[in-house]
Amino acid sequence: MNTFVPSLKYLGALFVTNLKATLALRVAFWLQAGLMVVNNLVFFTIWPIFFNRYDSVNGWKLGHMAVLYGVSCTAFGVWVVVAGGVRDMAQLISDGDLDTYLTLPKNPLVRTVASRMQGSGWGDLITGIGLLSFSGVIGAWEVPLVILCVACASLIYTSTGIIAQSVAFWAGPIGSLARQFTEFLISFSVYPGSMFSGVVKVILFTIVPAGFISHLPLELIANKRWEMGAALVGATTVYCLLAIWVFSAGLRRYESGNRFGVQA
Amino acid sequence: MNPTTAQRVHPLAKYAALGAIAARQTLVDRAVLLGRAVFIGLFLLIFSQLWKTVLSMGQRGEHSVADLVWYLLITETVLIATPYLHLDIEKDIRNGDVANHLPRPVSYLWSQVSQGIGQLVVRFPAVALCGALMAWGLTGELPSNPAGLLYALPLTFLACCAVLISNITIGLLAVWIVDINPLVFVWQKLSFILGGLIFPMDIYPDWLRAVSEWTPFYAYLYGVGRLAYTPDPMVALGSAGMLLFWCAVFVWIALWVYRKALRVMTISGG
Repeated sequence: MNTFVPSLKYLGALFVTNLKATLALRVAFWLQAGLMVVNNLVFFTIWPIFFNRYDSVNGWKLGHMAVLYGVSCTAFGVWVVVAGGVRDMAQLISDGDLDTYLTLPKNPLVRTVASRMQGSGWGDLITGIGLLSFSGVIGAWEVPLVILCVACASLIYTSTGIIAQSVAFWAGPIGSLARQFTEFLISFSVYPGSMFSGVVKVILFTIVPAGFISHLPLELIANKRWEMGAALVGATTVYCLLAIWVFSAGLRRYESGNRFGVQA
Repeated sequence: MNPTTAQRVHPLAKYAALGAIAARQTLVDRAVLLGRAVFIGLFLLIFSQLWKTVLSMGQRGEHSVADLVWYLLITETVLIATPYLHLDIEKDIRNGDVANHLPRPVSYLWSQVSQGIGQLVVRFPAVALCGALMAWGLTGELPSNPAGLLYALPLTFLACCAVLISNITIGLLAVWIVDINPLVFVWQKLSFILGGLIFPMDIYPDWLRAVSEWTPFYAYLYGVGRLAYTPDPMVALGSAGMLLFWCAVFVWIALWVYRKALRVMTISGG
């Protein structure tokens, strides 16, 4: 606890710095964010087309899909905006470039994950909030639940990203595989949870925790199943602790790249 | 090799050699191959579950689950088997490596095309085979008219070539827009919608289908994918014609963009 508050303050300072750096290239920023909004909306268009032809998927309708996609999109946006450095961790580790973070008097995990902000993440945030607003499922009473779900889902995205990228401590350059894992996670989180069963469902609540990112939040928000809220918070805690443990264990095996560099 | 021997080398031999090297490198990079195979398996799994759920609820549909899964196998193979050369080209342009390629006695554009085809020759059978096994495992059957798969096989490869050239053109645009990722995302998502990547265009509203027929996405995704359940030689011929037309258009655009890009790179020093 004695390091938690300073780490949070440090994270806030890094966020402001990254935001200034991202906004410095104003045209590129708006282009990235704007195109990401277009990208997300075009992708979501398949669902109005689908539900125009078919009535539902095990009770799931277009409004549910908007909430599912909205939570997943907003959480992903929060992740890459606040902790965009996660996606480059494997590269840093295998190239021996973590040195610059290790020499700083701050938590290396916090410093590494918050080292970058992806401008396109703002586009995800805008799309996600837009879809949630127009889903027809979210009223004023649901807003606190949405905030809780997005916070938990973005922490799970970040934690699983850290775990996947940290495998590089043992396996070397696995950056593209780690990114592909994230793609799997996103892929599963934007389809109706009601169509998965058996082994697939077990995988979705363990190795590829898409169930916690969007399926379970939808149950909490749309159907007010409060036990899902408790499960969500519990699972988030477990994934966060696991990420910290895996990164710390990997750091003990880390070998420096012996390169000179300056981290401003 | 002395100059006399070098002069005897057929110009195409240089590109064939580049393609062969790229094919060998792709074979060595098994993790990426495995990743792509898993990726197509994952999509087939998700959508086989979706169609099983929807059609088991007695909702209307013209096609069986097997038809729809084999359709998805073809459309996904087109996008997953095609190398992401635009990312390599963007990297070359951003870090200035393209300057090292320009003085070489091979065109940068055609060297990328030949390397892409070299990679494709390895990736295409790997992805298609893994996907076909997965589709068969998930549905337990071939499509209702499996003869269409025979037409689909060469046309899917041709569709991959069309996507490859469009990817290279997008990569070259990095000379002007630096970060091509947003453009790639939009291009991919337009493929989703206007190409019928996930859902066959038979379920689309008429107006959207009419719009998509004028785009390349229709030709290289739905045009090929529909052969999974339409084993009609005339349909296959129509799809082949559309694909050849769009390949020619993409090559023309790529050459035009490349010439413009070369001028910009020469002026700014690469």
